[in-house]
Amino acid sequence: MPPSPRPSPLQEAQRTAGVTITAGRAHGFFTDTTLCIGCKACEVACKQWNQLPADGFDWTGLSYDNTRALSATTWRHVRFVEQFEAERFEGGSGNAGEIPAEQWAAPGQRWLFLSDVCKHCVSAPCLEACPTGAIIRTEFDSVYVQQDVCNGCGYCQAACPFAVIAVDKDGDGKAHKCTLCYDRLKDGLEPACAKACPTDSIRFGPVDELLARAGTRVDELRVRGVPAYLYGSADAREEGCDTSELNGLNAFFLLIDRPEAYNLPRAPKRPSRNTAPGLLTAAVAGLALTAAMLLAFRGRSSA
Amino acid sequence: MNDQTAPPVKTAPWEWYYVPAYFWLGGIAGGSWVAAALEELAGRNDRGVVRAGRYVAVAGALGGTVLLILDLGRPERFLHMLRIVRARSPMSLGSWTLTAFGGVAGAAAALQWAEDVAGSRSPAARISRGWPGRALHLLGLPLALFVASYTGALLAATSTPTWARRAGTLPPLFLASGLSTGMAAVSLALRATGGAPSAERRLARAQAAALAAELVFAALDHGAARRLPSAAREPTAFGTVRKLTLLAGMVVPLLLAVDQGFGRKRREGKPGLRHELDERPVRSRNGLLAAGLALAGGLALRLLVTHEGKRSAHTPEDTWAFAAGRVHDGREIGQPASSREVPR
Ligand code: SF4
Ligand code: SF4
Repeated sequence: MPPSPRPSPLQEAQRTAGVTITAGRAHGFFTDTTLCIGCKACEVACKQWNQLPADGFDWTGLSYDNTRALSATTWRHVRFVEQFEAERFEGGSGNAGEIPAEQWAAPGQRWLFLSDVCKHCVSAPCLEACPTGAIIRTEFDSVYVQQDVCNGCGYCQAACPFAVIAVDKDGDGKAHKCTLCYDRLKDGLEPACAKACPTDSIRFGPVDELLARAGTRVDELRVRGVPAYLYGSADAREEGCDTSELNGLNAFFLLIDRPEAYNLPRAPKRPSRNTAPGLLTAAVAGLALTAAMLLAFRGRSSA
Repeated sequence: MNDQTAPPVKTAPWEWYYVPAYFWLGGIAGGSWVAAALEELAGRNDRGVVRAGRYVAVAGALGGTVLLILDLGRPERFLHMLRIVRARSPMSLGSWTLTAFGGVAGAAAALQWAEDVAGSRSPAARISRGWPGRALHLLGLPLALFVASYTGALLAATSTPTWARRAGTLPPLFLASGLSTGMAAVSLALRATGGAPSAERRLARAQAAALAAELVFAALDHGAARRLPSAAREPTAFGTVRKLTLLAGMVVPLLLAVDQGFGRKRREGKPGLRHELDERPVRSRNGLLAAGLALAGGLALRLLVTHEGKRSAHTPEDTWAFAAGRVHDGREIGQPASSREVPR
């Protein structure tokens, strides 16, 4: 019997996400928060694939979300935005008062979810800050930390405008964050979180394709009366959102409340914008003060 | 925001006893180098001052580097800092400059040590006092100024709102503080080894100039910091410490340094006091106090700025104000999105 013809070399991502992963093309995530059901499958899938340790079993006591934040060992975090009546937050301020109740999806209360992740900023502040060159841009236009180079100085942690990257102070002392599943992409697999997401709230693909899809989705939702908009595309300016200083985010979001409700800065700044002015003022002050010191050292010393 | 919400930006993971202490030591190292270099270049050339300046500079640079290394998550990888040069990253520029400055200061200290051992008439002294020593001083001068000031730019080039808002004031403030603490450290070192009173007066004058500049920059800097919401939530105790730092760490040493540096001159017209003043026992003690207070004030300043950064990063409103951007649809910042009319 002749051997059956080998199947054409199809990437797994073509079957699971309908996208072809090509080096040299910008890839990212489109996270549609209106589809998220808060199941945290992405969080778990990320932990599993990347073999990240558990963060302990602490209850926040104030939220159904007990992960709280992205960290060195949590690279996907499903944020629960719980908009309930203020009384439901005992001792907490709550954010129920910020939105008129009649405009909520369900009268009286609503939950918003945001599966937060590294934004793989197009001009990434963490990368620009890193003094060792540990943080690089990959052939998929993702931002990646080379673990064998990072020395744990922590400057990236202070530079990231989104509280993403973090140094594992209790662990290996190096900076960690989402890799956009660099290892999986290399093998033609879509990232673990996107694959695990049961509602396709997380979409993986080439950024231009994702943007087109996102635009359609925004229009669709607006027709239905949902005030949807995109956060993180370089040219979206809605809600006063402006990520153009970072030249946009490869991992962007569809939101329906103001960005602050999701803990996102409206117009994130690029920290390196301050480097040159800072050093320049230092230089000017340096010249002036040296001149003053020179006078002090030169002046009459008759004692 | 809900209370359980983690802050929208993370603080730098630095330990206060390492990195802010390094900022302080780096300032001292830079300032003392300026003392040594200007003492020689301005023509007075008291070798005691040069000697103290060189030694304090190398000690500060080495001590600071050790603190920096200890703070790394992977200290054994310190040299990875020297893999690349990145002009956008003050951390990268600073690592290189600190290394270069450490080298220059180390060379000068070695020359000084050779001179000390071999005596002031030896060939070693001729090198140390001659053009090689002078060239080192000149070469190290810009490096010293950079080491003392770049840490302000390093803080400014982050996403911590209160630091990022102070890009124009933190670097000169740190520089002025570096110079005042450097002068103070050199004058203490000089005192310990028995320096000439005239040299001490020059140092006091330089210290006064630096402290005056420091006060001006501190005022400007605080003005910039005050515009963020976290400043309004400053705990009373913190405010007290800040004012105390300003008063005891800058104003009082400034007055004392002015008195020591210019006091004699001011009263020269009154011959009756002349003899008395020549003894100047009180003055000298004032100088000691001025130096000590300035040094403590410099450390307190670095710690305060670090702490302000932590509070600012932990105050979401700071980030919202800092990253507010322009409003494109005429709504006020903070007004709920859903109160807007739904398009189409
Ligand atoms: S979100 Fe933060 S960690 Fe991710 S690329 Fe941007 S700056 Fe770096
Ligand atoms: S902690 Fe590591 S990745 Fe972050 S800036 Fe420092 S060297 Fe670069």
